[in-house]
Amino acid sequence: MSVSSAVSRKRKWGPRMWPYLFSLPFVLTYAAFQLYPVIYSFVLSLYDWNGISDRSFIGFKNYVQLWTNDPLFIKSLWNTLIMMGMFIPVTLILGLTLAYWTFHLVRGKNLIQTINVLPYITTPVAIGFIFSYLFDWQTGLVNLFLTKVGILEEGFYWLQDEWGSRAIIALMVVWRNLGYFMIIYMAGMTIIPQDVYEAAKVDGSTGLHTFRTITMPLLRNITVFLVVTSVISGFQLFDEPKLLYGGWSGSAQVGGPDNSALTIIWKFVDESFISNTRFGYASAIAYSLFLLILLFSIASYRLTAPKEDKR
Amino acid sequence: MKKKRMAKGLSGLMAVLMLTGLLAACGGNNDNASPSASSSTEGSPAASTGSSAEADPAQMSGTVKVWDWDEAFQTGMIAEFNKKYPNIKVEVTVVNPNDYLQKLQSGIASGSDVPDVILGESAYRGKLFDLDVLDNLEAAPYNFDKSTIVDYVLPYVSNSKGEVIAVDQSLTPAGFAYRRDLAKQYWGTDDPAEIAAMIPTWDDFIAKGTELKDKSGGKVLMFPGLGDAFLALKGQNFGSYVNGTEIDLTTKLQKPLQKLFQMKDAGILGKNELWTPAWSSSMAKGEFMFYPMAPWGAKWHIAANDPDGSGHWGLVKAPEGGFTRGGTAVGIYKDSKVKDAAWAFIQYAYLSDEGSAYNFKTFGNMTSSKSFYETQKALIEAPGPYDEFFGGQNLASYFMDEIVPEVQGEPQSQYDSVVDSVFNALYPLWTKDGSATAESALKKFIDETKIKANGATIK
Repeated sequence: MSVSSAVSRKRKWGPRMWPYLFSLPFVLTYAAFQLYPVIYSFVLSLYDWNGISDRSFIGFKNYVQLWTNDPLFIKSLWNTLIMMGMFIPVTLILGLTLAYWTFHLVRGKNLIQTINVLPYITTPVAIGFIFSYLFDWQTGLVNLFLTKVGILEEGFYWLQDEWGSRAIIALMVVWRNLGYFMIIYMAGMTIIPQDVYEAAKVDGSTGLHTFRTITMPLLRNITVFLVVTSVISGFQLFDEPKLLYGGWSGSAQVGGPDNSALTIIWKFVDESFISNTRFGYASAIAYSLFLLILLFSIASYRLTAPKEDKR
Repeated sequence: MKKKRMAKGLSGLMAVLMLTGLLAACGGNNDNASPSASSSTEGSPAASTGSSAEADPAQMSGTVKVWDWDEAFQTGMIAEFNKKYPNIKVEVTVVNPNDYLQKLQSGIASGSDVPDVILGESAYRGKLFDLDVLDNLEAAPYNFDKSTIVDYVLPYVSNSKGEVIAVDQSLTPAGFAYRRDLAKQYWGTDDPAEIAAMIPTWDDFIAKGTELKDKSGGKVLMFPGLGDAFLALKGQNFGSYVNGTEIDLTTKLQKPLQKLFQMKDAGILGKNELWTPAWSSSMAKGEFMFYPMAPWGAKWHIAANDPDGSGHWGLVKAPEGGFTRGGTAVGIYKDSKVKDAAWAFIQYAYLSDEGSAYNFKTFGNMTSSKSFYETQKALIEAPGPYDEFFGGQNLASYFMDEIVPEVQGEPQSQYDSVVDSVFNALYPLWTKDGSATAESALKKFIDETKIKANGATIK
C-alpha cells in the first residue's frame, strides 16, 4: 500500500480513527490478558475439571456446593472479614496520626518518612520470615522477652492460637501498610491550603480541635480512597498468612490453627494446587470473591464518602 | 501544509507498523515452542517399535526436557549420560518442588511447556499419579520389567490401576539418625546394634525415653516433636487406606495415634514443628536423641543442619520395623515426542549399573535396581560420602541389610496430600493442647479430612 492511498483513505474516516487506533494496543492487551481470563474463569467455574482430564459441565453446582456445603469456605470468609476488621481501622488511625505528627516535624521529616515506608517495599517473604521468627513458640524473641521480664512463665504459642494467629497477621499487614497510609495522608495534607489553618488560628482553634474539625474532614476523600482500596486488598489477603505458616518451606501448614487463619485466597490456592486440584471449584471461589469485593467496595464507599458524592 | 499532512500520515503508518510489530512479537513467542517440538520429533529415534534398550546408544538422538529441583545432580549425571549417548541432548529446567505440580498442571492445561521427564516428590506423588499424565512403562516402547526393581518400591511407582508409571530416584528406607555422644553419655554405648537391641518395640522405646528424660534432667528427649515421631509411626503402617473414594483413616491411623499420644504423655517428645528454624537448630544443639532419616537425609537433613557434627551421628533401625521417608518417582509424560530418548536417560540415570554407580558415589543415591546390589557389592561396602559423618558407619549397607528387608510398599493415593496437610495442621495443636487424647485426635482428624476431601466417604 502506497502512502498516497493511505492518505486518501484517511480522508474518508477522518480524524475519528485516531482515538481508536491509539487505544487499540491497550484494548487488545487488556482483552487478551484481562478480559479473556476473566470470562474464561467464569466458564471454568461451571465445570468440574482438574486441569488435565476432560471437563464435565455441571452448571452452578460448584457455587451451590461452595455456599451451602463448604464450612471451610464460610470460615475463610469470616476469618478474612475479622482480620480486615482488625487491621483496617488500626492502619487508618495510626497512619493518620503518624502522618499528622510527621507533617509538623521541623527536622528529620525525610528520615521518618523513609523509615516508615521501608516495610512497604520489603518483600512479603522476608516479612513472613521475620514474623515467624519473632513469634516462634520455642525460640521467638517475643516469648524470650516476655519470659525474661516475667510476664509469662512459659512461652505462649502465638502461631497456634486462634486469636493469636489472626492478631499477628493483622499486625503484619499494619506494619507493612502503615508507611503507605502515612505517605498518602501526608500527600493529602499538603493539598489543604494553609490559609484555612491561619483562619482557624485567628478564630482561636488549636491542636486537637484544629485536627478534628479541619484536617480530618478535609482528608475525607483520602480516607475514602484508603478504605476502599484496603477493603479490596484485604479480601485478597494471602501473602502474610501463607508466609507466616512456613510458605517458604516444603511442609507448609494450610490455614493455621483450626483453620482460623485461612483466608479466601488461601482456600482458593489450597483447592486448586495444594490439597486438591479442582480448577472449576476454585474458579467458583474466585468468582464469588469477585462479587464479594464488588459488594463490599460499594458498601464501604457509601459508608465513608461525603454526602454530596453519594447518589 | 502538505508537509504537515504527510507527517501526520507517516506517524499514522508508524503507529500501524509498531502495532503490527507488537502483535507479531506476541505471536512469535507462542510459535517458538512448536518448531523446536517438531524438530525434536524428527530427531527422535526411528526405531520406536523395538525395545529401545537394545538400540545403539550413539545412534539415538533427540532433546529431552527435564524439570528437576536438584541442579547439581542433573549437571553431573547428564555429562555422564552423554559419554554413552552423545546425541541425546538433555535440557534441565530448575523447578522448586513446592511449585512443581502447579507448574506442571498449568503447562499441560495451557498446552505450553511440558517436560518429557516428570518428577513426583512424595508430597504430591499420589496427586500426580491420579492426574494420569505419566506413561505406562510396562508397555511399548519401554517394556520395563518390574521384577528387576526392589519389591517394596513397586507400590510407590504404580498408579491405582497397578501399572508401573515411574521409577524410583533413590531408595528411601528410613531409620533413625541418632546422636552418638548422647547415646554414649546416657546409655553407655553408641553402637547401632546395641541401641537397636535396647528398643525392639515402641514400648521399650518409651521406657528408654523416660529413663533418658530423667537421667538428663529433662534436657534430652527422644524426638524433637510429634511430627518426627508420627513419620515413623504412620510410615510403619503400610496398609492401603483408600479404596476408590472411601478413606479408612481409623484402620490407618488409630494405632499410630495411640502410640504417638503415649509418647507425648510420657513427655519424651519435644515441642518443635518439622522444618522450622527451632527444629533445624536443635540438631546441632544435641537436645534430642533421634531424627527419622532416609539415605537422602544424611546430606539434606542432618549434615545440612549440623555442619560441624561429623562423627556425632549414627544410624539405627526403628522399633518394630522399617518405614520410608520422602522419595521421588521419575516418569515420562504420556504425550512426549521423545519417549525413547527420555527412557534412555531415565534408564541410564536411575537404573543402569554405570549410572547408579556414579549416582551412588557422588550423591549417595541408592538405585532401586536389584542387579546393582549384586554386581556392585564392593562399591556398597566401600565408604560412602557421608559414612565418616556418621562415625564411620557404613550407611548404605545398614540401609540395605537392616532396614530394606523390613520395608513394605504403601500404595499411593490422591488423598495422601489431603491427609498430610490435615496432619500438618493438627499436630501443632496437639503439641499445644495438653488435654488432647488419641481418641479425640482421631475424631478431629476424620472431621478435618471430611471437610477437605471432597466427595469422599471417611471413616
